[in-house]
Amino acid sequence: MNRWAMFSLGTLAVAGSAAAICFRAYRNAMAEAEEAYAGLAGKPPPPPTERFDPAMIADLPNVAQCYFHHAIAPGTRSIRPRSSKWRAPSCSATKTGIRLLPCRRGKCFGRLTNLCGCPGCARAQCQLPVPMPWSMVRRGHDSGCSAWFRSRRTTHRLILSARRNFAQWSRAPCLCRRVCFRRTTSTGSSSMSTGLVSRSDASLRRSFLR
Amino acid sequence: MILDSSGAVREVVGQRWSNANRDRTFRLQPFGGTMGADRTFQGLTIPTEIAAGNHYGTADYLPFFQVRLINATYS
Repeated sequence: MNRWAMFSLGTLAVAGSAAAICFRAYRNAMAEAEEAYAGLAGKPPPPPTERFDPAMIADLPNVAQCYFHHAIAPGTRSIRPRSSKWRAPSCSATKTGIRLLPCRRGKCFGRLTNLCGCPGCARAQCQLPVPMPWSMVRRGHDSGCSAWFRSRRTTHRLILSARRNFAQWSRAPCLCRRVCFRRTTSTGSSSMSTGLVSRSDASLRRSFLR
Repeated sequence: MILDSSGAVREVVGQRWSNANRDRTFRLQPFGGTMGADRTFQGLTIPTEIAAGNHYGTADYLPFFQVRLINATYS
């Protein structure tokens, strides 16, 4: 075995040992975290009359104490979230090339512009009542569009349809040309999309633009 | 979670079971985002400016969820 072969084997052995040490450290950290989580999950919920006292967290690591000192004011009673109100201050996608249409209460308003300063973001506001489970619809998938809107350069489409309308459009699929966002609830589904108009959908677009 | 010096949450990332990826296959992938400001509601201080999305920390990160929390109530 020549000198280069021995050097290569030695290098591989060192790299393998380093990888094994790192993996073992990672597994130990994960096991510690899982053990701590299981301990927390197994605890009974605090009584509603209990109030937060900094002494409760005195035995936690410094970083955890720092978090709880910031997050919970002393004397705060044990409470559970009841409701929250959200607003999307701008459209929900800022990556170049992906735009969402402005909407409010399930209706579209305004036109797409690019004047807000962030690339690919519409100027008008989107208001979302709750954090909704949007999912992305990739290019080539049926976006189930139900309305078309034009901006200066191109035509965009918006999908805000009840389930019965969605079924109607399933016979004439609107293939997403870029990326869409869709959410489905117990009462129906709605989506937002900015896919470009495909030629096969031109007649549908004209009917909506009348 | 990544905290700043005061203990405020500034970044959160975790593994989410999702098919929002190029292969359209369900798998664990990073989901997370950034928190820009805090407010206190009934004694609890929580992030109020949130931008989050799939593939946080990678080139495919898309912060599709951007909201400002206006109010929160507890019981």
